[in-house]
Amino acid sequence: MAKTILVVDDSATMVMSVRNNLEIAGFKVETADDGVKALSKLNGGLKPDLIITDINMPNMGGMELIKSVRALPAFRFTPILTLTTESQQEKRTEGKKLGATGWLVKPVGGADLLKVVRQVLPGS
Amino acid sequence: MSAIPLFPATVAVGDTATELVAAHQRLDDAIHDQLHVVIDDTEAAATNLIVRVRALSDAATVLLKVLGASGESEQSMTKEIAGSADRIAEIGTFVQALPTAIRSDVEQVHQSAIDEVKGLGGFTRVIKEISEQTNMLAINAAIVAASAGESGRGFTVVANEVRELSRRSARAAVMIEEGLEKAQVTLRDGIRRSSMEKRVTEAEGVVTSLRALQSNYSRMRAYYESLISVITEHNTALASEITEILGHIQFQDVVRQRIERAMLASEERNEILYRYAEAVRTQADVLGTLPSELDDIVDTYLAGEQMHEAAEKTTDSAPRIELF
Repeated sequence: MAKTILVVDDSATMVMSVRNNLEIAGFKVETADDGVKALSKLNGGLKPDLIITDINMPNMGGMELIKSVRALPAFRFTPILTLTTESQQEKRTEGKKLGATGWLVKPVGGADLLKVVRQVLPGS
Repeated sequence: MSAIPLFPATVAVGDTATELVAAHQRLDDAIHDQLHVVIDDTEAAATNLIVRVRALSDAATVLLKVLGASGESEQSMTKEIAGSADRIAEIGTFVQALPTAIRSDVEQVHQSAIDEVKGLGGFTRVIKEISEQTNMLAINAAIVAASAGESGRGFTVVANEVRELSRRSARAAVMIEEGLEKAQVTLRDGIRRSSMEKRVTEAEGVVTSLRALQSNYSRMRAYYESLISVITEHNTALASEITEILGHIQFQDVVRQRIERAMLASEERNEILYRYAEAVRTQADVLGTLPSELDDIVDTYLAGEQMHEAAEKTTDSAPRIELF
């Protein structure tokens, strides 16, 4: 069965790019354009196998989203990848402390993205 | 840093400075509006591009599915074609052997017929012998009848009839003999020249056609194998390129963020300039902090830009992709 990935980004271009890349590779993709909507989907019953989130977003950014997701028992161990233009070490360290699984700096090549996704989703 | 009075601060000068900053901001706003249009246009172009790329990917997938369905798989299809070519080759071998077999069978039948006809020649000899013996018997009977005088006259008539029968038998034997010889000649020459040779020629023609068919099948097999191989190869390359295109499209988002950063820096600069104009008007002593505040804006802006430059130049300490 296809694994489900939740993609969170306020950029329509990013969402479409990542969504199509993942769908062509056989994944099922759900999307949200900020942290608030992403959390709402998770609380509404969505059980993604992986979350890919941007950091700088309106309403709720990626850091706060990671923190909120880790506070939900059902998603304590769900892998979370950030996909952001932020590349500073301080930000990476902060993301790691909050519970991010990996840090990806935009733009990420399609093949590279799939490689990382398969690494954190064994058997996909 | 202490205040550096550039000119005597007055309300009038302050108002003029405010107007200058306001004019400056109007220009900035006009530029920002256009930059927003640029962002929207590039985003629309990028999403349009993604839709088309996805359609391309779907079309390639459909093509492969159709090819797969037409023969279940490349292997089963080529195996089937190979099997057909083998069967054609078997039929060709069989038909090729047919002329020899036909020739052999016909010659055997032909020889049997000649032998049978020759065998019938023995019967004509028997008829001739019987005729000669009958003739001798009739002659002896005629001699005996003549010596018997008047009483043998009736017997003489019978002897004559027997002799006539003997002659007719001899003629019939000759006619049968001649007929049999003609039959032998006909068998020897006629059959060989006509129908058998015609059938052999036809069989050879069939063999030639089958060989051409086999050759066509083999060529078709090679073509099909090559076709599937090329399409699969191209589809794999296409999928790889599509994946990379989708990755490169992310640059639109990066560019958007860089433009937004530039716009934010100019807005912050205008804010400071407004405060500066207000300070001039109210003769507040803030002039000295202006350069450093503007420097801060520049530093913040460049730090943001350096973040992108660093992202483009992957380093060991800050890799583009890092798993914790």
